[in-house]
Amino acid sequence: MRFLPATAMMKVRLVKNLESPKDLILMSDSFKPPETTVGTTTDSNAATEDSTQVTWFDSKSSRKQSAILYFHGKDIRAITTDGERRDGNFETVEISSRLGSVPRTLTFIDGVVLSIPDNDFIDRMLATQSVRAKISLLHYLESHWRHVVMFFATTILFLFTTVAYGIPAAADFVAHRIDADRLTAIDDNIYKQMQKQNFLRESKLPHSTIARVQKLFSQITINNKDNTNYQLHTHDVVFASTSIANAFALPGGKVIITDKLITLLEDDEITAVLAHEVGHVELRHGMRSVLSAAGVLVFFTAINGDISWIISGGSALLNLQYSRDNEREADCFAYHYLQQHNLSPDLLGQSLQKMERSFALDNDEGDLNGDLEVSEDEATFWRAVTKALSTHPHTEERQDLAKACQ
Amino acid sequence: MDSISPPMEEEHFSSRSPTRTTESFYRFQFHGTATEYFKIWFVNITLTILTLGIFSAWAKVRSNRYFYANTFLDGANFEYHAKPLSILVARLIILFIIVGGAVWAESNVEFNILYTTLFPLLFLPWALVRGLSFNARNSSYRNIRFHFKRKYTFPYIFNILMLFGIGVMIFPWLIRRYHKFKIENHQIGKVNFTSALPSVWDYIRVFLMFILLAILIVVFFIFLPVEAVILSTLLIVAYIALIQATLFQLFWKGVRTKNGAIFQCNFSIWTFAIEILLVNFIASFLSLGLLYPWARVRKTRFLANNMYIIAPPGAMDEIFARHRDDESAFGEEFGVAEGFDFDVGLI
Repeated sequence: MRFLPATAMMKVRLVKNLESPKDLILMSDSFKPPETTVGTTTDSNAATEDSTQVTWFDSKSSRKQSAILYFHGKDIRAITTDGERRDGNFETVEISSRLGSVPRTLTFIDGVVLSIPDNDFIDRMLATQSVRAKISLLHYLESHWRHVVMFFATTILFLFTTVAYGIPAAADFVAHRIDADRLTAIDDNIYKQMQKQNFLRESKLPHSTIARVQKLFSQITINNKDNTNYQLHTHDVVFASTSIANAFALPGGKVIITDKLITLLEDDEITAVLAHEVGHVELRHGMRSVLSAAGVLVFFTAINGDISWIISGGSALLNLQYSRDNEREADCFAYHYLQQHNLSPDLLGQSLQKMERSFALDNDEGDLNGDLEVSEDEATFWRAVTKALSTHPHTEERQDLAKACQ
Repeated sequence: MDSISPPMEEEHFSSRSPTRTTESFYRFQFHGTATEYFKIWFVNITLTILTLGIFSAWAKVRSNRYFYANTFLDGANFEYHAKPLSILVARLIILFIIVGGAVWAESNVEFNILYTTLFPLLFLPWALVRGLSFNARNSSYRNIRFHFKRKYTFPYIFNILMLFGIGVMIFPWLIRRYHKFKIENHQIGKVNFTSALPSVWDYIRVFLMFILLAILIVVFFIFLPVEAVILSTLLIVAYIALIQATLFQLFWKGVRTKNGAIFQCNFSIWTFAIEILLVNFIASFLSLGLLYPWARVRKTRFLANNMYIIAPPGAMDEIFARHRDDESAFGEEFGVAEGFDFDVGLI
């Protein structure tokens, strides 16, 4: 295959393509086709230091032609093996940014596109241009492992700060600004749903007992300042065909305590548990969790697309972390209440232990540490795992309220 | 001037079979690597996080460009041209509409009903068509852009049928009709895509098989102890992967072009579903997403290696560009719903 003949040939073409003689002079001055290319027989020899082998696509058909691309100062010229030619300069052509080892494209004004496999060549040519020395910063970052590692650290740090402090703070801010009526409406809705699904059943306790517990509850809630609509409901809660001992609070002030828990605990212990639940309401934990979960979701969705795999596992673990934080705060609320009313702060810990024992008996698990022979290392490992996967902090951790809540 | 040698003869091998002397095979090739994409992906994520999501539009373009431009067919690669700014603007508009609508719906009961029923009914088909159109227009092969004819009738009918429950009964037919809709409204340059999809009975057969399989899995679950969470999760993922792989094959087996190119898939559904999709899922999940780039590259490479085109000589070179007449209008200018990917570049 013969490449572009001699300068003579080129002049003919120049005259044909250019409009004024002035252009002709300009062009012929700035372009001196590399002499080595003239008369050579193969394409590979045609490329020199400021020229490279490219594929040419006109914008009208899918025909593929091989061509040579020349750079000379600011000027750019491409000539196909058929002798078709385009001229341009760094201001008029568009060169795609570098991305891995993907071929770069150079687009002329009229839509002709060159596909350039030699990325380094294009970077060298761009580097010579002071006007638009656009060596891609992104590519620079992407092509070095140490940047990637550095970025990894930044990302983790940023994610951690946002998720651990930013989102909870924002959720807390919003949660305290939702008015009591709206929260009550939300409560009523959830409560109705729970009844409909037969999760909450009629309490079987005598009226006198219920009245006694109601009184304990009103003593705790009597001093509340943000006109929260507190209500206590006693129910028999059945899960997997056994009654369970538990208490929980809805966001707007409805607290539900189960028959089994009431029979299990002494009055002072009930006070401790109820104070813990009231703590959830006072500190707006219900709303805060919902908002935090939504916040995490929005945050990760904003980050979007490429990260989707991390969302699924990550946000679930995060919600558990938020949940444990809430429990600790509610514990402290109860601790302070008990202290103020001259009750022993150990009451909450005691009731927790009773609940746990009742739960273990129901599940025929017996004493975990006694029955299962687990080596020390394994035990620590599984403790770490269960810690990350549980909604509540470890009971032992919760015993030492005095230390945690000072 | 000497003529250049026809590129086709350099890049492909001709069939020796006597019946196919006039046709040639064109293989897809994927040149991307997992390590290279990993670095791109990571920089994308970091910058997206640091810019609170704004960079995500640029990230999408870079990712797509990487996969398009590394996919070669007959010695030339695909290109992705979307402007990040249009994607960003579209995302902001959609976010505004959805969040704004939800907030307003909260306080206004009549609007709430309108918003939750009518909005998806009216918006989704429109967004689908605009999304397909945006993607097609921003994809090119050999400097010839793809194009999607914006036909709205079918998506709206689809939506209404699904809303009234009739859609479920004729679901296999609807899926086939949707494949046909997607194929036949696409063009590369002036060349139309035509569909030669498997018959509706094939779709029904596949549909019934998946229902049967679902029943089997449910029955199996009943006998499975509750603790076998991992096994049941894997089963469900494998099931979804099988559906994806089957639909993928049904679709691509039916893709042709007016000038005689025929798409072929040369892999078994099982291999694609289990060895590629399921393994990818497990790897990505266990590595908390770190192996996602590897998985994506692996899938693309598998598809490229196992798909090819049979076309008459010259078909590749004789695709002519459309006149740029019917450009623009909101929705195509912006990458509305660019999530609805047609995957022209086999991603």
